[in-house]
Amino acid sequence: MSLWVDKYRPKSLKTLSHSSDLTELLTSLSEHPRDLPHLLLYGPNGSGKKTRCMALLESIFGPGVYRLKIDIRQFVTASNRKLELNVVSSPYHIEITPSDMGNNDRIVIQELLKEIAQMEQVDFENSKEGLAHRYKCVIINEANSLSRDAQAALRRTMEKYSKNIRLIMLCDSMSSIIAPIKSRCLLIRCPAPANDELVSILSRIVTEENVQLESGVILNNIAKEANGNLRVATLMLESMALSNEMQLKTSTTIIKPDWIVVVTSMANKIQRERTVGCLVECRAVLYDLLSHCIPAKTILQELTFALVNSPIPGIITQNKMIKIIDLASTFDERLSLGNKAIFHLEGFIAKCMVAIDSDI
Amino acid sequence: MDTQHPLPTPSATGSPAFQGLPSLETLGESSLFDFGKQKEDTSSGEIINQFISSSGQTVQLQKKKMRNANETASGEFSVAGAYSSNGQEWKGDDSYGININNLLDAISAKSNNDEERANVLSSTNSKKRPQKLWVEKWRPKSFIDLVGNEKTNRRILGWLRQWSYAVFKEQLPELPQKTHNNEVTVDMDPLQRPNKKILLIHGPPGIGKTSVAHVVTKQAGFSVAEINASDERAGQFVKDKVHNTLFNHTFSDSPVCLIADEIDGSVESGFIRVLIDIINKDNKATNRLRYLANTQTKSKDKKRRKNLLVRPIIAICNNLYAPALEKLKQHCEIISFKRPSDNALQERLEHICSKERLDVPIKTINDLIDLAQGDVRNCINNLQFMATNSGSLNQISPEKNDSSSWDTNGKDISISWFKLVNQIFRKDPHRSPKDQFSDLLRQVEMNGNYDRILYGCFTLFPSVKYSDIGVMKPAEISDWLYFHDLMFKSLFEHNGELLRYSSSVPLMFFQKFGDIANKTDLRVKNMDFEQREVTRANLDIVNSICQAIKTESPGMAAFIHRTSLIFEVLPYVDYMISTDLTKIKNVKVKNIIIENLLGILKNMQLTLANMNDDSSEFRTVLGVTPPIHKVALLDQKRMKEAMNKRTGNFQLLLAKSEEKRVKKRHLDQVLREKSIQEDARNKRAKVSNNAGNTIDFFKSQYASMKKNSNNEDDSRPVSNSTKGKLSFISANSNAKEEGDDDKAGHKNRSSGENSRMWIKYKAGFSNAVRKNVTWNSLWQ
Amino acid sequence: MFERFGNAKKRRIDTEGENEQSKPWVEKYRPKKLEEVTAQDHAVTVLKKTLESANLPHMLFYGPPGTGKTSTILALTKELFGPELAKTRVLELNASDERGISIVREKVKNFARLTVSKSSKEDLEKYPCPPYKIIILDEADSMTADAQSALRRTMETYSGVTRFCLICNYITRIIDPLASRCSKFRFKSLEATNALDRLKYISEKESVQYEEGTLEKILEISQGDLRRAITLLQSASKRISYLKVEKIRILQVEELAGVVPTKILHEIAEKVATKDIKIIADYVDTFIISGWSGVSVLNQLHDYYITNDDYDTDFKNKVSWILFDTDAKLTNGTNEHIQLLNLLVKISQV
Repeated sequence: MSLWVDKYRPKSLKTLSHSSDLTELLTSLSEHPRDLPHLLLYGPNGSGKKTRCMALLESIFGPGVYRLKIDIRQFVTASNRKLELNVVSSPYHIEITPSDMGNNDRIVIQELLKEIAQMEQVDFENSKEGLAHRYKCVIINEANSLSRDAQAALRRTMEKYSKNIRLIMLCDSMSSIIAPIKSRCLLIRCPAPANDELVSILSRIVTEENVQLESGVILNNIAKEANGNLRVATLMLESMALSNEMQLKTSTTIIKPDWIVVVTSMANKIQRERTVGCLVECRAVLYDLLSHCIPAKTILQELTFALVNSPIPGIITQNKMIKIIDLASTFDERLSLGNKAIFHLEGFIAKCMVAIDSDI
Repeated sequence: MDTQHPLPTPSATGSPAFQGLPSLETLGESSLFDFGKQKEDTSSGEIINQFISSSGQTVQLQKKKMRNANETASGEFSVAGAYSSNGQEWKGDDSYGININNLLDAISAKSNNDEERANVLSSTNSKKRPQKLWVEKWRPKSFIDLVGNEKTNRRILGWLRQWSYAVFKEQLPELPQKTHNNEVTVDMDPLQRPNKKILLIHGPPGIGKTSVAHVVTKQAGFSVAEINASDERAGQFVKDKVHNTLFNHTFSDSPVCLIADEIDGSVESGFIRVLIDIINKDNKATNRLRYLANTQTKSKDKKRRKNLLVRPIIAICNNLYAPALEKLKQHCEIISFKRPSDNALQERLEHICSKERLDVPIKTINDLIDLAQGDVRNCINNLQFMATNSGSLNQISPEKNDSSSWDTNGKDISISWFKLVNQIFRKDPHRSPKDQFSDLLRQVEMNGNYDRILYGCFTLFPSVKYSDIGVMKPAEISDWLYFHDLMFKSLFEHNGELLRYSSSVPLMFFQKFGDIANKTDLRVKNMDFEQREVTRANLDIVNSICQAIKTESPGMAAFIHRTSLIFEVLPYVDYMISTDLTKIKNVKVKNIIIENLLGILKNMQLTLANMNDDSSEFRTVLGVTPPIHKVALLDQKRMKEAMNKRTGNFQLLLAKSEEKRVKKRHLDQVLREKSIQEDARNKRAKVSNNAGNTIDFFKSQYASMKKNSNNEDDSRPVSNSTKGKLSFISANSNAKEEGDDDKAGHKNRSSGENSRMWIKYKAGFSNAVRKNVTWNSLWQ
Repeated sequence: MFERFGNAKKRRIDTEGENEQSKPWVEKYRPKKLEEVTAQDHAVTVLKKTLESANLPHMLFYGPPGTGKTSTILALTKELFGPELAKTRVLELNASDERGISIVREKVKNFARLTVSKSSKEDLEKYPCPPYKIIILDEADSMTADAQSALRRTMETYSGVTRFCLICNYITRIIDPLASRCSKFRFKSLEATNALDRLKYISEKESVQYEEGTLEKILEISQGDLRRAITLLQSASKRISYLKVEKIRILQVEELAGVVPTKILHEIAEKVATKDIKIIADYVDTFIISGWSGVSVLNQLHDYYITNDDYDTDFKNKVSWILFDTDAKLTNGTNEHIQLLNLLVKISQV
């Protein structure tokens, strides 16, 4: 028994539920495992990149890819510091997450990939069954957070060791991936499921779990709130079902994570009250959010869309909205370039207040 | 009159013995019980007291022989050493054979001396007075000097005391809780060391964890070997060092206690592995020793003893959830440190001020405390700084101490950043703005700590007075803050060549927010630092969850992702487990939901365990570990709601999971399991009872015991006690944990004709009632 | 255990023959001789001359990715030394290797000062085998300035026995002292005809069928990056082989390349023209959710607005400023959703 997200996660290409075009493409790739190109899967959060990637590997190598284990690998950095990294791997693939390794991702990429590339050849020659895993797959999670250096380190490796290694990179946005890498990969877009697809997935879970539904409207509402994020939708459904005695009525309140609730209420506060006092309150909330590990950029994004998409009528006019969007883009950049998140977040709020007060 | 030396296990002695346990903690306090005074009157080896035991016998309280007081008397208390030579020869209780009253006298005499000396010093040598740093001068030197955290300090001392047998070969009196624990765990350490052999102290930085550890170890008679971050701590190197300190014999009199400071850094895994290694080896050696003891073949093989850990280790860290500590934690007795309360700190500072002949207004002291945020060291530093800076030696008059005097006084010394921040917001009407501007610029540049100053300005500006339309000025200043951010970043990119341009940003604050109306100094709270600390702690919680899932069920590892845990999974899981189970009427549905929840908990590798409630020090609350609510819960209102609602839920879940586990087990295992559960239930049931007066309770219990005692089996082993007694014991230990009105936790066990009794009173606890209680009131 | 999956046979390993097939086409059709290098006439002619004279200067190749820089130097070394000797005579270091200052000081220097090994007779007959070694520093722009300056002296001191070849995308990232020591070869973006020939050659070899205009579309998408074009061709051919369709179609190529289909591009322009923020915001929302990449749509929007004659110059001027601004922000690693929304809203207000 586990979270429904995990329970109903498709494990093979055949059971993948949405975006059939994409599934078709993956199936075609798995038909010819020999000339699998390097892949770059991109798409919004919760659209099933990882699930698809694992399903693809499953269809190439068999269910062994789900026999995962954790290795501890040691690396030595340039400054002679030892670095330990837990690497998730199966007999056929290995996974790296750049954020695990901090600033040393270049070294890890260099060492690890080379190690795999060189080791695998021997392994393959000794293999009596002659299995087709003549190459090992390397999955790079959050490829967009790879540093430039690490990406540069990948370039030649991708060509040189293409016999032994296939890279599968997963990322939310391609904007920070350098062109040379993109040109070496087959780009695969993973769209989030459309609303009706989401609803059908949810209703399948609902019947499997014996959740009583008053009407399908609630599923629709969940799908709308989840905004294409399948993981959120499933979690939402489960937590709502569990806290409502497995019965969902049309009027059942939709559960959202606390941090979103807090950001939304902050957006409302900004619109209603534009004073220094409010600014101070917002500052406290911002500190709170930051200390709960919510990245500043996510806060900014949520805040912006809370202001733009569901404004209190009569306060934000079209022109003011343009101004706010402009501000958001400016402060987004400031957050990227600077280090002091709290300055910029509060600056954004202050400027938004000014924009709302002004009479354009 | 039996002068037999007391044996390790109380059940083994034939004669009744009484062991009074005035703890060392009482040193600084007045003695609580009358008999404590009586003790002093009699000389060693003689009968101290007589009373009638439960079985109606006359029982004589006796003293134990003392070996060598020098071993234990701490270096600081030379007075204590003096007593042993005086022929005072009793020992073996918590007081280390130190005569309390005499000691108190000595202390007061000593402090008088100190004062006198200080007086002499200040009068004769007044000009050179600031030569010694106050931080060093007023560093706590003995237990009573410690500020705040009284309870935790005591726990550390208590833990260290448990080593006494292993280290000093000194007999420890049996502690009531301890025997109780042993009934459950059965295994007794052959060297009578504590179960967990490492003490892990954690808490925010700068609140004196290290100081406390040092003082307490000294107090307990150990000498300190410290390994901190400044030492090389890589692999073999540290291994040698640790082994040298722990296992080698030294020439110095007092045994060593290893203090491992700052062990939560990411690079410390090598060091921690060494520690774990030692513990594991020790476990093996202990088992062997136990085995040898059982089979009565006492071959004193030196090699075997070599791996035995006979010296205590104290580890100190800031962050309990640091990934490096994951493996060490299970071997550790964990003690959490909190910031000392402002009151305690204030008291201490006032004490120092009075000793230093400083006349500092309370408000200033409070300001200092606010500034330092619990960092005692910082407070004292600032205090000294104020004293030296004030120019006048023995007094800082309130009016002179305000900031206007700082301006004139500290012209050529760079002034501290928080003063500067306050100045920035203050427009002087008597000076031309240009003058003031250039002056401020000079100050800012001289200070150089632009980042700190700007954070100060940023925190303060909403609370100062200035004229503005809406929030125009805060909006404008945000551009300048961005400018500063960029300039500050150059520190990491171009060696900080651009950093000097940052000096113009505080001046922008002056331009925009400086006002004549701002006169009073405001306190600057360093929110940013706090936030970063909390973020790090929370991140570590998430990481530890990630790690647990990865290691326990690698199958899921591919789909576990830190960001998705923070954003989505944990908040929803949190909602799920706070489902109100009590409301559900339909049993079937309830079972399904419980089933689901248990699955989720198991899947996320979360466990239910008793945790210390943040709000109250003594109450333990059933909660989820690692504490996901710290990451997931943001809304204050919901947090309170959830925390209240949840406890019931968890209880139910725990019971269910327990039940499930029971079903799985083999039959006889089931039986044992049940008894444990029963035990737990009894404990829970008794919690409600313990509110009553314990003394009354004890009396009634005692009466019933008297009736029962004749029926009891002579040869009953310690662990085999009836349910009623067990509950009695647990109730008492509970009561003690609760720290209620009682100063005494009692334990009574009768075995045939002999009745034994242990008394422990928690003297000196801040929450204990400090009054003299005579034996009569206890027995009647 | 693979029996269960029916196609166990397929998983068997064939011999060398298939080894070649499993190679990405990029590797397979990497030019093996200098003549095969397409479109870089200037560089190739100069290098051919050096083949004859066997005298090589230090070289610096620069140009956009996928224009054949690495291929050229690899082909050159093969022609100079032959496959056997190349192993001892050529040191290739790229960004995947550690190239800190310590490596430059040790590894590179040690290799550079080695005397040239004797070449065997057969090699001498077939290849010119000039008496020097070649050190290829691929992706040299990712070397630190320190490491680069450590190279300076090495390049001069051992120029008798060692030649350096630096390869980079951006010449500005190479420090001046190094650049001045090398003869520079600029590799320009592939011209359409040259690249088209190459693509046609490959598709012929691999017997790929395609619709008219597909190869042109591929080239347009890959913007002169031949590597990308070939990768694209390969995946497209794989795709049709599965779908049992005979020919590659433009739509499939667009989909595979991750560029936004022209249809959606027109939709965007339509929404922008409404000037209603609500509509634009909603559209951007669905656009992002369906996973399109913000960066690629930015480029396409640029093409769309600038090459479209419906708009006057003033409009184009303003729009390109906005596009530039957004591109800069995106390169700084900002949020695509916000930036794209800002971009479209701003364009709509022009």
